[in-house]
Amino acid sequence: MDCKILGARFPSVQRKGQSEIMEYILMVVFIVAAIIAIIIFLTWWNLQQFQMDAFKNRQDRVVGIGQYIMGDYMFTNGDSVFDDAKLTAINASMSCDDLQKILGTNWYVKIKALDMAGEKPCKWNDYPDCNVWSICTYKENAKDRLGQNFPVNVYRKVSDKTALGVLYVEVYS
Amino acid sequence: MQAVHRIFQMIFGVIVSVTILYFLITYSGDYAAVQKDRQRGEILVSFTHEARSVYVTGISTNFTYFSKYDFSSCFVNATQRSIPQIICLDSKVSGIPIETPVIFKPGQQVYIGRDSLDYGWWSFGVAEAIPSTTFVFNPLESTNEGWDVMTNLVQHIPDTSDDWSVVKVRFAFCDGPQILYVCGGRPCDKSDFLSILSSGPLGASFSPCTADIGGKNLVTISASCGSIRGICINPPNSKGVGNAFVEGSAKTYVYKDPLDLVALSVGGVEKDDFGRTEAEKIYEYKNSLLMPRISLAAQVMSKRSVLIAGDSPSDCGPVYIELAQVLDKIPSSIDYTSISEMYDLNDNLNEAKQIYQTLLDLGCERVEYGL
Repeated sequence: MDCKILGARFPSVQRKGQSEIMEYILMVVFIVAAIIAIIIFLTWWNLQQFQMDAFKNRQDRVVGIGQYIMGDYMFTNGDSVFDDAKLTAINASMSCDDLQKILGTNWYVKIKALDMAGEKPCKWNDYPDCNVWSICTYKENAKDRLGQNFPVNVYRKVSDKTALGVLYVEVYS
Repeated sequence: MQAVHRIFQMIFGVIVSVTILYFLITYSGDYAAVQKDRQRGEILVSFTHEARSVYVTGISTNFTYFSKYDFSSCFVNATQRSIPQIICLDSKVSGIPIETPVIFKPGQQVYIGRDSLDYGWWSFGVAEAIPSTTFVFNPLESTNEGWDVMTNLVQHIPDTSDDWSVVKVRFAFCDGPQILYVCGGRPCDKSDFLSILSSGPLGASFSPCTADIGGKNLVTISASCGSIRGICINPPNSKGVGNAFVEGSAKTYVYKDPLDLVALSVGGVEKDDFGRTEAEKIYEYKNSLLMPRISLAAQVMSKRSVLIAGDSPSDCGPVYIELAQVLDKIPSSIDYTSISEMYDLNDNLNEAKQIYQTLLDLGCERVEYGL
């Protein structure tokens, strides 16, 4: 009788032990999965943050180049007023490399005075009957372009007048 | 079976717990380090923004985020190939680009102000970021030249006397074993100290400073800088060029404008792991930035003068051509460590400034746009 009872109990104890082990393994698997999920989420979150930072940095670079140019007396006469003769002289005397040493690579700037219809690039021989100055070259096939317009003033040296203008700054990779 | 299960449970539990714990600790350590680096980077980037903002607007500000971590090993480094970068020697976060010209001495809190070198036809703007400092002057000879050096230097250091400024830059004298606080027994603010300097040397002669200066910046002005403490400046010659020396450095630093003196005095004699003084780093950065820009600005202004000479009123044309000829003498590559080149440079710059003043006087250039 006892043996029978024991014989009947023994398989049920074994099954219970096995199920507890399974239960235990399952719990561990869930915990590990939860930890992995948290780690994946945190890593993803960090990557998103880095990507956002990269975008912010590019946007910031556009503003930085614009502000630097507006504040440098090589381009302006102070108070962010561009001097058309200085801009023409920059195009005639400086290479893009010279400015890239100051402002880094992969950028392009265009200044347009709005006192003339259309766009007439300012070369040495066209001065002062022109209204567009491009600093460094515009690259058609450049990727990841990001640009911004800034309202500016352009001082017309020969006519001694100040015109409204637009400064366009673009960065690319 | 129960016993086997229990043993399995214990061994399995210990192995899994240790593994998970080890992984979590390692990961959280790495995560914390990444976040710390990120914050350091953010702080340096926001410093570049503040410096740019001050450079553009001229509105001074306090920058206090440096107190969060140790940034004492950071400095701005300029190279010939790319834009300057903030380098921090003891951190992975380094190489943050900074286009804005900035004379930067790290500290827990720094005051950022704008300054400029006015050449008449062009102006070199710079932001100055410096921590609380007391400059202690020790003029050994009672000469006007020596006092002019101090006046020039102090004029180009930011004025932190505003109530809102948490950074205080102050001034005092040192005479032998004593530090002289000449503004009612306390260090002077910029304006008070300048008014004292404006009265001239008045026959006052000082003994070499032997006082304990603590963390203050000692600046000795003397025709002979034999055994020096701190920074020692020889008064300039008639061309405005002179030599300066830094304690612990065998180099002679040629100065030709007040910003050189500011760079050396603000930097001070502290050395990094490579034996370079802060003064040397700021001086080299400032000149690697200024020299190429003077050349470029001279080229641009020379071309501009030629361009508009024909379209200007008749009395302006020849003056513009004269200005162009003088500016053309400024070479495209300037060695700022050569005293003879600095003589020539200052001669040309002074001559160009005078000619530009003539243009202003004649009404050829608009006075409100004058620098």
